[in-house]
Amino acid sequence: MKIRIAQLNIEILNRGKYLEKLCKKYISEFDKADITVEVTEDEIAAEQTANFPADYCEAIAVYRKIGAALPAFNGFILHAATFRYKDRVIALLATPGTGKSTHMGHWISLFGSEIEVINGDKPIVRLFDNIPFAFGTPWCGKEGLSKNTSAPLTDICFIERSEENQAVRLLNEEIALRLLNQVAIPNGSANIIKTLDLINLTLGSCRVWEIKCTADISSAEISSKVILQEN
Amino acid sequence: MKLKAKYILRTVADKIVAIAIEQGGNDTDGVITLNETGAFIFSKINEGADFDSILEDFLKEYDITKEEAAKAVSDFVEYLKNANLLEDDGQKTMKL
Repeated sequence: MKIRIAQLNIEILNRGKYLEKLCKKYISEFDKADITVEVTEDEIAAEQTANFPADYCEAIAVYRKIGAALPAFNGFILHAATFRYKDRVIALLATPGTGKSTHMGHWISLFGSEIEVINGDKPIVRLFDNIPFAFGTPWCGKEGLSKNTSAPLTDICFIERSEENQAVRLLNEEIALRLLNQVAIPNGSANIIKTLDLINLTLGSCRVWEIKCTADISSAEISSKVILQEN
Repeated sequence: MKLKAKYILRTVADKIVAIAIEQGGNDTDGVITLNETGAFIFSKINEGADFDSILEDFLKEYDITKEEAAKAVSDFVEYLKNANLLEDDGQKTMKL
């Protein structure tokens, strides 16, 4: 199967059919692949954490392997719900179950069709001339929200559940560990060093926020008001 | 005194982080943030230095007494042990 994501030609030597269904919006034709991916039985088994079907685990293993190849192309996988509103591209980061999809849904309720979801769960970020671009990919969470598009990332927001709504800019020293926990860091020293350099460059281009939020739409009213008023 | 994994140390967003080289892709718990003195000691252990040579280097770097340096290094090594990051090789961590 051949797909094109994040401006890269990727050939996947897949075993199961799930990947073809997952990637149908990104199917492409090309002669020369930038990345060729094939996963082993062991790599599929390593993704098996909750009795998922094997071809579902294969898809996870394939994306991990694509991620391992990305440093060579100035890229990495970010675990974030990512959307565009006018000239802003906002990535919502949180530990699973915190409610980043819910919070993105509240932005959609507020701004309707002015919100374009780029990737609901795991965009690829690639840097061009040191500017980070977020890309839609087939790996976008169970809601399947992604668009085969890209846009320069402008805001990184760490979401935390709270009794009250608040959005504040974060200081550098508060960012590192939280961000690294949401980046797929590949194995190997060269890959790690490159990925960390890319993260530093990304942070140089983005505002970083902490959004403390309730589960209702008032959270997006507050966060959008605070984030969008800062240019 | 040996770390269970080999690490890369790097500054990210003004914070020194250590990332396990062979756990990067699968285990982001392999990410540790360090302050300046912690990073100094950690990097020496990562290079395979023993307690005495770390203590010697620490004294060259920081203007403190040998006792203060020994306590700082020993406390940090203890922290690494408690965090289950060190292989248990039976070596004493503090020699005065």
